[in-house]
Amino acid sequence: MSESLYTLVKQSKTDNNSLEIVIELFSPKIDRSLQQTKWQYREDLSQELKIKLLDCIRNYEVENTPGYFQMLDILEEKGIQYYQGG
Amino acid sequence: MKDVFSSISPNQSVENYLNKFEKHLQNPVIKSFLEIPENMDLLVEVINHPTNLSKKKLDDTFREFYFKIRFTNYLSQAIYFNAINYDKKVNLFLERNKSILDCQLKDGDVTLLDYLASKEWQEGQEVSIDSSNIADHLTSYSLFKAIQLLTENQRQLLNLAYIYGLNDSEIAIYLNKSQQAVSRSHRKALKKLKEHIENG
Repeated sequence: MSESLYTLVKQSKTDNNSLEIVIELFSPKIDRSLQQTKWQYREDLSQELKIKLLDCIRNYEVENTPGYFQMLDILEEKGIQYYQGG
Repeated sequence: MKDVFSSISPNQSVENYLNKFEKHLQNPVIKSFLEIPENMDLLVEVINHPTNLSKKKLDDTFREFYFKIRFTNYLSQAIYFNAINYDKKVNLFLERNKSILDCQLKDGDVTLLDYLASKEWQEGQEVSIDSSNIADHLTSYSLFKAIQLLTENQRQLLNLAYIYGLNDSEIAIYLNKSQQAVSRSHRKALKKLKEHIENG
C-alpha cells in the first residue's frame, strides 16, 4: 500500500477508488465476522456491512484527530492517571 | 548569553523534556508512537530546534499515527456490532415468518401446521375489510374498546403502522415529526392497549 490510511480516508469523501481500497483493507475483518452467522446469510451480511462501512468512512471527521501537542493538552486537561502494567 | 544555552547539551534538554512529561509518556498511544525510532527523532528535533516546521512535522506524523489506531478501532467495532444486529434481525424475521410447518409455536403446544388447520385461524382469514381505520379490523371486543380510549394521533399512528405497514421512521416523515417522538407515542399506545386488555 503506497498511500497511508489517513490519506485514503481523507480522499474517500470525494474519491470512490480510495473508498474501495479502504473497504478492501477491512475485508478480512468483515469475513471474520461472517463466521458467526449461518452460511445462507453470509453474502447478505457481507453486503450489509460494506454498506455500513461506506457511511462510517464517508462521515468520519478525519480532521478531528488530535495532533501531538493537542494530545498532550487533552491529557493535561483530563489529568488521567494511567494504570501501571497490564 | 550564548554560553548559557550552549552549556546545556542537546541530550540534557531531551532528558529534561522527557522527565517533565513523564506522566503523559505513559499514555499507550504516545508511548507506542515514541517507540518508533523515527518518531523519537522527530521529537528530539523539536526539542533541540523548536521551529514551526519541525513542530508541524511531529504533529502531522502523530496525527496520522493516532488516526490509524482510532479509525481501525472504530471500524472494527462498527463491523462487530452491525454483524450482531444483523443476526438479531434475521432471527426476529424468521421467528415471525416461520418456514417450518411442524415446528412448535412459541406460545402453546400446537405446531404451525395444526394452527393453520384450526377453525380459529380460518375464521379470522375469511373477513378481509377494506378500511383504513384500525378499529374496523379488530375482532376482539376488549381491544376495540381500548382503542377508543387512545388519542386521535395515536389511532392515526396505529393505522399507519399496522394497516399500511410503515415503520416508525416512515411514519415520522409522513407526519412531519421526529422518529423519536413517533416511537415514544407508538410504545405508549401499545402499552395503554395492553393495560386495558389485561385489566378489563
